[in-house]
Amino acid sequence: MTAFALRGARWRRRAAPYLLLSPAFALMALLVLLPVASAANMSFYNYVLTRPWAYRFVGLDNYARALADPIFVQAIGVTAVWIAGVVGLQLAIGLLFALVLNENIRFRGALRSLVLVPWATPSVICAFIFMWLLDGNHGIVNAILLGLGVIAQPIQWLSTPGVSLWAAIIALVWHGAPFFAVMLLAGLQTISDEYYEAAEIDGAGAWQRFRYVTFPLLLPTMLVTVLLRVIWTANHVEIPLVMTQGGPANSATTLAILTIVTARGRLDYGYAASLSMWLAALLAVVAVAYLRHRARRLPT
Amino acid sequence: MLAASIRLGAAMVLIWTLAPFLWALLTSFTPENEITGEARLPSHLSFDNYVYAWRATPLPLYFLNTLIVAGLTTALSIACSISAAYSFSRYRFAGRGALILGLLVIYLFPATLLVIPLFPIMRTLGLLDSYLGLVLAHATHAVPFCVWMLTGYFDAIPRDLEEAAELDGATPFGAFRRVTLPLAMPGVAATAIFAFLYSWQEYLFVLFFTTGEAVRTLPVGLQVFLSGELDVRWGAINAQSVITTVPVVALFMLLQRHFVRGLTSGALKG
Repeated sequence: MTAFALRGARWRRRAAPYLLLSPAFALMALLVLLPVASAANMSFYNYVLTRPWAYRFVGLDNYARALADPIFVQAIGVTAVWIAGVVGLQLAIGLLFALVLNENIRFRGALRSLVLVPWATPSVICAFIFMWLLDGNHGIVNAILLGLGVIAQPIQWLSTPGVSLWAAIIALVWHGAPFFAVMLLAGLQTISDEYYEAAEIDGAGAWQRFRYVTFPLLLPTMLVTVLLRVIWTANHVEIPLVMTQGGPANSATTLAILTIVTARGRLDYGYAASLSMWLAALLAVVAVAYLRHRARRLPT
Repeated sequence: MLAASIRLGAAMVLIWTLAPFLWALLTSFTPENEITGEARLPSHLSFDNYVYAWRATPLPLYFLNTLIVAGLTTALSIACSISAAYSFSRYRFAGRGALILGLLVIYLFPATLLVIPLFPIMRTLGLLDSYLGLVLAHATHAVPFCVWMLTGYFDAIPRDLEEAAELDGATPFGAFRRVTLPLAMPGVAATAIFAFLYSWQEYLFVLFFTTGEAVRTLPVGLQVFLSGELDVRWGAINAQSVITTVPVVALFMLLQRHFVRGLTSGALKG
């Protein structure tokens, strides 16, 4: 073999991994990196699709405009309630699920499968199901509450300010709680029985075993799951958008919904891009925390 | 006491999980005139809502569109991801760690952030209301998680097997095709189905990149149908929901072991 051919073989060997990566990364560069750069750029322009003649560089105007926009300020508060409500309730329910499914109960296998049904249900369908359950006139929830005498008048769940947001929160909690259950169950299964046996010998009751064994050992799993869910929940739009359209009176308009409505409804892409940058900036803090944790567990 | 509270907990889990779905299922079999009546339970079960949903609404078109978009998204994502995952799994090269991290960062980019700049791009390229536009949009999410999951599956297959094949005279590609790929096939199939399920239920990209019914998929199609109804036919809506959900729930149940593994290894985000 000539030296030339040898060098060619070595080069091929070196280049192989990059060549194999190139289709996926070329696609991602075109479909993700380029658009994100374009969004950053767009946020510095007055760019309204219906007024192409008004397209011009406006510097940080769009960002400043957000700060002066009462709906933006309101949306920050709504987003905080939204994230805290969804993630908090998903964590609580997911933990309950995980603890139950980790016990030696009958039909455990079947129960573990059934728990996944809401997660497998398309999110828009989850919105439909809860719109029907909470329908003001014919919904079963009102019927039950009226029947039990808890309420005297039917509640218009989806068109009452402050209530509609919680209706959407409950729907997303239903959809997303299995995610927590599965993650926390996996965490529980890594806790060695020896700890529980030792705790029992020391006379710990069920609550104490949970408080001093389960909880501290499960905490890292809970934290990373919460971080991931915060990012995901902050960006989730379809359930509240379908159920409430962000209303009434913007009372259920999160930052993500405001971004979407600004682009799709008002076709104001410059402002929408700046809103998405605000959201990305707020979430970057959470994402960095998540990635720092994740980086330790990257596939080797 | 503890056993009783665990049983109570199990009952709560079951009711919370299944009651909303079962109520929608029951409504879908309730005759339309009884749905808004005083009696909450149907006098008899009827398939009328399903007949109406399939014959009188654009459901069959949306169903077909969804199959096409989800099928093409799966094919494109798997085709791009297999070689990338193989590269991450079998080669050690400069920049590997950074590229893996980059993929994870891309994966965290929300659809909300991508859809804004992608809309003008799609419009300029004439990709609005096209299958290709939707498939490319769905690939932004499907490719990173396919690469991630497949890397895990390839890692689980010992290198020795390929090396043995190469000693027997197979080329590296031949060894991959004849030895590793067949062994990884269950994982590839599971990954493909997850890409399919993601595309099946995706809403935001389809909302932005379709202006008419032609290529619209189920989630957006049904929502537009619902919001266009003056007097909502809840029976038909619930029948549509069941038709949309049952195939994915069935696939999901088949794959739940892979699902749990993918989720806990961080490949799926919800």
